[in-house]
Amino acid sequence: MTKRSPIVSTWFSLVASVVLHLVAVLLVFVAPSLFQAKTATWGSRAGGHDGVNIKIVSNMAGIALPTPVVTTDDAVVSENKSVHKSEPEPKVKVPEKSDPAAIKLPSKTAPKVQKETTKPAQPTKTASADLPQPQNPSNAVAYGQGGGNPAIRYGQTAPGTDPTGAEFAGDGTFGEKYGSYVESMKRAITDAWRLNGTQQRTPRIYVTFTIDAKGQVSNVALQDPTTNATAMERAAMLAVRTAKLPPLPSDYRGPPVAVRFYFDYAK
Amino acid sequence: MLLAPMGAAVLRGQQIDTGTTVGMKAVKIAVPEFRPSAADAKINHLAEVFNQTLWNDLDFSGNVVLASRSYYPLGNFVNPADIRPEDWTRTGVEAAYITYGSVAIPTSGQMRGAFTADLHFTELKSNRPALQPVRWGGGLDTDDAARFVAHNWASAILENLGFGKGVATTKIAYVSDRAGAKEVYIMDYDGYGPFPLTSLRDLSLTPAWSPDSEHIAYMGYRGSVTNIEIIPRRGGPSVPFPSPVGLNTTPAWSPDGKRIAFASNRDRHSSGDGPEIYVANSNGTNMIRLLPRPTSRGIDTSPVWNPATGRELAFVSDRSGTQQIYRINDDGTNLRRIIDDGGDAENPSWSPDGNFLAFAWKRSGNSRFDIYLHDLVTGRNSQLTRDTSDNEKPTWSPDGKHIAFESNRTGALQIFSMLADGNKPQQLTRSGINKAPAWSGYIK
Repeated sequence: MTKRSPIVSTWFSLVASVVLHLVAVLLVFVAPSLFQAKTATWGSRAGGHDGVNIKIVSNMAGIALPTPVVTTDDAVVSENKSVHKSEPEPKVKVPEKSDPAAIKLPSKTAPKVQKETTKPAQPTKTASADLPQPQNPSNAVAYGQGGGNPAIRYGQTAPGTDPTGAEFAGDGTFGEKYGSYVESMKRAITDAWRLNGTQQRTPRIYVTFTIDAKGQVSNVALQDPTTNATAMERAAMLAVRTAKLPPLPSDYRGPPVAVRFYFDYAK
Repeated sequence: MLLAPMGAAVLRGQQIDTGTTVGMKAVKIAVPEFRPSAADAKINHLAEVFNQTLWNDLDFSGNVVLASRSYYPLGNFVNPADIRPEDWTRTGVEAAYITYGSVAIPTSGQMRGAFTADLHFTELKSNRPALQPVRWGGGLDTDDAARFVAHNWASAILENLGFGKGVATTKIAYVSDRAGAKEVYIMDYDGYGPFPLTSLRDLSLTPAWSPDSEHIAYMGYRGSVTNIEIIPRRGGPSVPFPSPVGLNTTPAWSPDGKRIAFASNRDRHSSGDGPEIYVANSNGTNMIRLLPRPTSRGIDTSPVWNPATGRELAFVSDRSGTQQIYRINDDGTNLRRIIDDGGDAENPSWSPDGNFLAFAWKRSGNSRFDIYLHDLVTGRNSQLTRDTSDNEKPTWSPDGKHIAFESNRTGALQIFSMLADGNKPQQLTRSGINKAPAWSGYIK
């Protein structure tokens, strides 16, 4: 075996070192394109065989989906701009929460309301005799009596009427946070519901629809329609279509609300 | 976490699943008096006006029940911290909602010198605001300003509860001779703030609102000419129909505002011929008689449009010998009688949803007129007024829950309003003779 001279050995070592260094540097640049990075793109199927397959739920009420966090596994910590840009700091959006107890006054220069230091001139408790009580004169026809049922329903039903029949089910999220809106919606539909006394007892009629931010109703449909829509089914659909729904709560940020609503004629 | 595909029969993750049943309980509201922010005579007075107006607006709405103040806890209820829900939900009060706050006349800032109110509306079970608290100003420091804020707050509450705007911000046009000649006046739905709109100084009768509530059509006498005229509700020149002939009266706007039906005897052949029903463009051009000449006789008058369809009218005719109410398509076809029970029926007024006719009826054997409702779906009639006076000329409110009418129950003819089931009659006018009310729509 020919012995190499020390100069040749050193040169050989030098060359080998440079080549290896070059290969290493090359690998640094080329490797990200050679090997697919496991990006955690929200909801995509490209995460590899052990990636998570998630379907975006479009009507999850009240929960704002966080903005996707974009990261790159092979980001190099280097400020050398000629080589590549450093990754920007990923920002996670925190969903806004509005404090329901906050008092929003539209006037920007709202004057301070003077705090009362003296007792008001009027007594705070007023006897009922002082107030104009509603009069029911003898000539008024009492609701539901007289020559015929005028078939107009008001909020003035007799005390003791059954308050139930308004079940609440479903996923519960919307009703728990906005119970007041659900009650207003029920009132609006009941108010528009024409009962002319000719309805018969019938299984519950279910109507589905959606409510947008302005309180507009769309996609009105019977859940289990009969072949020829009965008068009760038509009345139920009409009640939903003509109900004066208020706008959705101002702090609700979700998509239009899906509703299933039943009409119970049993009495 | 794979979500299963949704079939049509599966409850598709609805966010609300609820319903209603016959006989839902009325919603009860507590309305303690809004507090004046200072011990000042003017603010105290305006607080009283505001509180009275708000109470009456909610009480007369026909939608809610007001908890009696006899059971309210003692105290001032100005801020959310002043409200303990258990005090308002317990037996005796049993309110589901409460509205409260304070009133002031600021001495500085944007609302300086104007009546302002800090307004709260809270759902008691959750103790959360049903409406975001607001401060509203009425522009001036007058009774009108206090009423204006109260009317709008009542309207906001009713709308939030699901009842639509109610009637608190609506108006009533009518005929009054309180200043001498009969002119068309306008007042708030509760009788406040009346002012004359017309000034013909002759006779102005039978007012009717345009569907957008911006104009009033009426019958105006100018000397020997009687014509349909149109005047803006805010005041301004009164514009008559072109080329008037004969007697022209009882105008009524179509629901789309493009046409006006009215009664006219312009085509009469003899002095025995009465008026007939005509339809014209809203500027009086392109007049068409609804029924062909040979088959009509006697008096046809008081046309009203079906507000739900805009394609048919009801009117009064004595073609059968007595005054009765008929309906007809707007092309003159399909004439048929509606009220079929004898007596004299007149003054039809169609409910906003198209399902009812209110009218005045003097039944056989009676000497007086009363207000009745005719259900166009079932054919049934029901009586709304019942006393020894004449009650006539009913007009529906835009929410379909109230009716105004004229009555001589207090002596001279006056305007009254009531719920559409006959309850809670309210006297709206007091001076002079007042009649022929017409309830506005929603004024923008």
